[in-house]
Amino acid sequence: MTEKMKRTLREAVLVIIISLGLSTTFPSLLLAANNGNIIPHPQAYTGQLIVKYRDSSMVKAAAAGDTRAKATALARLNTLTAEAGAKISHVRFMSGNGHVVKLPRLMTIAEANAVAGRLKSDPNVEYAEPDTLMFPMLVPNDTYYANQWNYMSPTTVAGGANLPGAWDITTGSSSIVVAVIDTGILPNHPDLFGRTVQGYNFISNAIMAGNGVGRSSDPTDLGDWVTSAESADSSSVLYKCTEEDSSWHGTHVAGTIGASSNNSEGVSGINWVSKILPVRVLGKCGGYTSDIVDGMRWAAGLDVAGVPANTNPAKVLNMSLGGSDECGATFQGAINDIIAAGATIVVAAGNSNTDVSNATPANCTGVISVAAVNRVGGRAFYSNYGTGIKIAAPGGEMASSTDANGILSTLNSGTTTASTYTYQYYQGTSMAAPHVSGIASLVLSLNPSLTPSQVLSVLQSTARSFPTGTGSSKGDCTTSLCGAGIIDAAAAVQAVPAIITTSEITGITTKAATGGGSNISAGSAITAKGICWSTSPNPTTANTRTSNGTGTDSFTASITGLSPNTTYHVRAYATSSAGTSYGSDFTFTTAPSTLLPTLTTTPADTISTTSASSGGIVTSDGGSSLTAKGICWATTANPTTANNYTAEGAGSGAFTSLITGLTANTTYHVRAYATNTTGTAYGLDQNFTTSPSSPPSVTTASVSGITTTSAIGGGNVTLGGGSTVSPRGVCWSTSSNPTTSDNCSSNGTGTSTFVSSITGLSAGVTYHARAYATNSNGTSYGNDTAFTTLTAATAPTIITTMPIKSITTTSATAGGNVISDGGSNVTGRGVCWSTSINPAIGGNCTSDNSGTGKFTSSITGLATGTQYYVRAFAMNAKGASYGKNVAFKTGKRPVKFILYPPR
Amino acid sequence: MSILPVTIFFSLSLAVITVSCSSPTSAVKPIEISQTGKSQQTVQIIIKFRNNSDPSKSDFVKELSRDAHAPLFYIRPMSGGAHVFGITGATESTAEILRRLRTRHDIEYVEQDSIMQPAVN
Repeated sequence: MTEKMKRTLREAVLVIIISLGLSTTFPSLLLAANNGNIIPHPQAYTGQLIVKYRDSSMVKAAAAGDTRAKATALARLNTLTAEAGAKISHVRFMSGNGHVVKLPRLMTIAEANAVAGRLKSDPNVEYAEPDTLMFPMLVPNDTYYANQWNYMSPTTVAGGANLPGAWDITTGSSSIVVAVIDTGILPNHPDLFGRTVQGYNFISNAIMAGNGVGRSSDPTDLGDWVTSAESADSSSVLYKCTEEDSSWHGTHVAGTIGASSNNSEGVSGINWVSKILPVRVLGKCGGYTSDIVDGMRWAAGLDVAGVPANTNPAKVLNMSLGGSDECGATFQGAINDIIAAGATIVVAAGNSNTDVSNATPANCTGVISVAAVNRVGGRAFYSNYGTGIKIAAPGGEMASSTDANGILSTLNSGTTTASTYTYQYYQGTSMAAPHVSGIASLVLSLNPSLTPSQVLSVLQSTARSFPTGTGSSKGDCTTSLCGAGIIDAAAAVQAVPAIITTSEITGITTKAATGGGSNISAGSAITAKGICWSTSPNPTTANTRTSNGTGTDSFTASITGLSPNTTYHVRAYATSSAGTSYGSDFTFTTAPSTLLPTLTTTPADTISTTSASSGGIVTSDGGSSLTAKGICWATTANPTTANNYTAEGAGSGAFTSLITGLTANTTYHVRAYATNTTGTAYGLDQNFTTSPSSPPSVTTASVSGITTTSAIGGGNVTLGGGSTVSPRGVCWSTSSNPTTSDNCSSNGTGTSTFVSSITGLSAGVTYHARAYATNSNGTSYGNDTAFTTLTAATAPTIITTMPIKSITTTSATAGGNVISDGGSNVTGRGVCWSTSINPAIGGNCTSDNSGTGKFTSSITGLATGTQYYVRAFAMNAKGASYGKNVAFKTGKRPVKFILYPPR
Repeated sequence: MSILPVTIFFSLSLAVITVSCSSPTSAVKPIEISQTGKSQQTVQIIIKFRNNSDPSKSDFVKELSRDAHAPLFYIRPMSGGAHVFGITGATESTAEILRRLRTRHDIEYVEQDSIMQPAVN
């Protein structure tokens, strides 16, 4: 495949991923688009099928734009839908006369194959198959990667650990640390530089450590060579140790686990991201158990006296070391502590070609003991074996020191101290173990919450069956010799159960809450997710649950149908092909039901015969807003809102209500009430008795509008006295304290003010008036008010003659002002004039309307140069009155001058 | 010396011999106290006590040495609550020394501080 073709295919894959909305489902796969070969994803999902009809002419014509053929082809979809047992729809016609159809949902390849199988039963269908998503396989570009057969897929190398398929899904996580419990490492090896976190040197013996001090903070491998002289020196701690060159063993192991990868240099490591924790426990002649277990505990984050705390606890401990013995209490105790701390321990089975039960710590309970296979998957000649083996991994099998059938990794050429950084082949279970550690770290990178036993379960359940007929010198591996199978990285990471974090529960009410899930990841597609809840711990999807779609996006979900004041357990769940995983169990308690309000009843006061005042104080709304409050009353105890009641609005606090319509002299019960969403609560019952019946209470209004024969009176009935007030009015008499036996008005009924007309009076007489009000209990009177009518009417005496104005030779303007009508209407008015004093009606007079007030009169017909007397007058029924005389003199006729013209 | 300790002694000795003669990949360090005479090699043992007494005190070490019939000296505490002791110049085999120490009721376990090797072939 050319680079152009690869690029085109990569782009096509991306388009498919985006169009199907799978970009979040397969995030790591998008990263993989930069490398290597194109392969079908082994755990792929698809939403499409490719169908080819035997009669390809129809599709060919449809693809060419023939509308009739297209209609025929689309009509066939209905038939196909019925045959498929699933709704399928047209996507497009494709080259080669195929037809791309859409499935009703995202399906696993197995599900899609099942649908395709049903379609193939149609004789018109030549073939039908899943439109499988293809993904690039991630292959690193390291120089010697081609020599690392131990990573290859089983289709290429039977003994390979199948890493490329795993790298498509994960190349590690920075949150995971892998400890190399070994000879230390050379951190400046070009392929290890920057790949480590701070380790420690646990070798107590200064000679074995080779540093002159023993334990130190520097885990660098200083070399583990032993000279013949040292081995022969009976005074040396190295006495009888095997004479040997430095092994740089830890450096080799570390390179397999996590050499810098895809960096165009050296070898690839299994985990490209997670860091290596170098823990130096092996020195010259090996390492004491006491130092090793201290290093193990420290690596897992446990305390070791005299050593600084490890700030980068490892989730995986690789121990490519051992000895021949039973598993001692020292090893087993440390292993138990470390497993309890959540770290996985991987141990080389040993190279003695004997049963692993004799090799410690591989024979300790809880460790993953690793046997070695060769390139063809057979048991390596040296590998220990037996039922104590948990799994097998590539360890190499070499005929010479340069045999490429070994495991190639980072090393150094120095035979004593470090010299030149190199890459060399080694063989051994020491080399097999780091394959398991590295793959375990990939598994944990996807799901750090897995326990050591879960990690082992994932690795064992996905291990490949041992090949047979390998022709290996020690024969084929079997499950009784080499564990569950050959480790398979790709299968292992795909089998990693999803991880999901249960979101904090919020919005808790009496019946509902809000939950959700986040931090979702898995080795295969998330096909379902949501939350489940129950009143019991650790709810599962068998309990009440939500369904919140697919993919790794965080989500929120509503928890409904809950009971008040109840504790629930909630877990988020995510389902992948590896099963259903759950987040942590969160508990929450729903809010209690809203309480009834609490309130008191205010005792009644201002009690009359028909009314009273009461109220209440709402001291608590019970947790929800009040919708109503007031008082209710009845003549029986404990009245409710089914009886008479007032409505004083919502809200807490004090309130007052007026109780009306009561019957006099009757005992009533009153209670305050308040209503919220839970119901209506009442205050204590308070009772009171209305006042007895009595005559009304009435006051007399002052008298006004007094004339000679009438006046205006009135009153105010302030209390009805317990029964209807009728009649009411004012009584008057010339005697004091008039009663209804005297003259009275009748002015309505009830308790209010009223106005009364007092008529038929005599002028100039003093009268007494009293308001009265009558009910069934009698008649009450207001206070006695006396008044005197006006005396009988007189002629208008109060009149003024106004000054004369506008005097001409024959006219003038005069007028008057009638100040009082004298008790009778002014029926006429004007001015009279004469050349004699006291002009009067009957002479020359004007008539200027009627009534009181000012008026103007026009005097005409006068003689020039003559003095006149003028008087204003006014008339009523009693006669006429005059103002004073006012004299004036008319003007003289003017002299006429004749102007002569000038001479 | 009873028959049982001897049996143990020989079985351990055989294991040591076997390992020292095989590949260096999985061998307990071939240092052993000879059956006769004093060995100047130091053998390390790990003891975990049932109580929290301070095993580094000289009187206590003397008591242990008396019970072990061997000159023990305290080396260091270990993680997990155990302690490392050394034995130099013992006349008894390591197996016998361990057997004697196991008779003490205050000892939860005692075993040789075996030396592990890299598992490269």
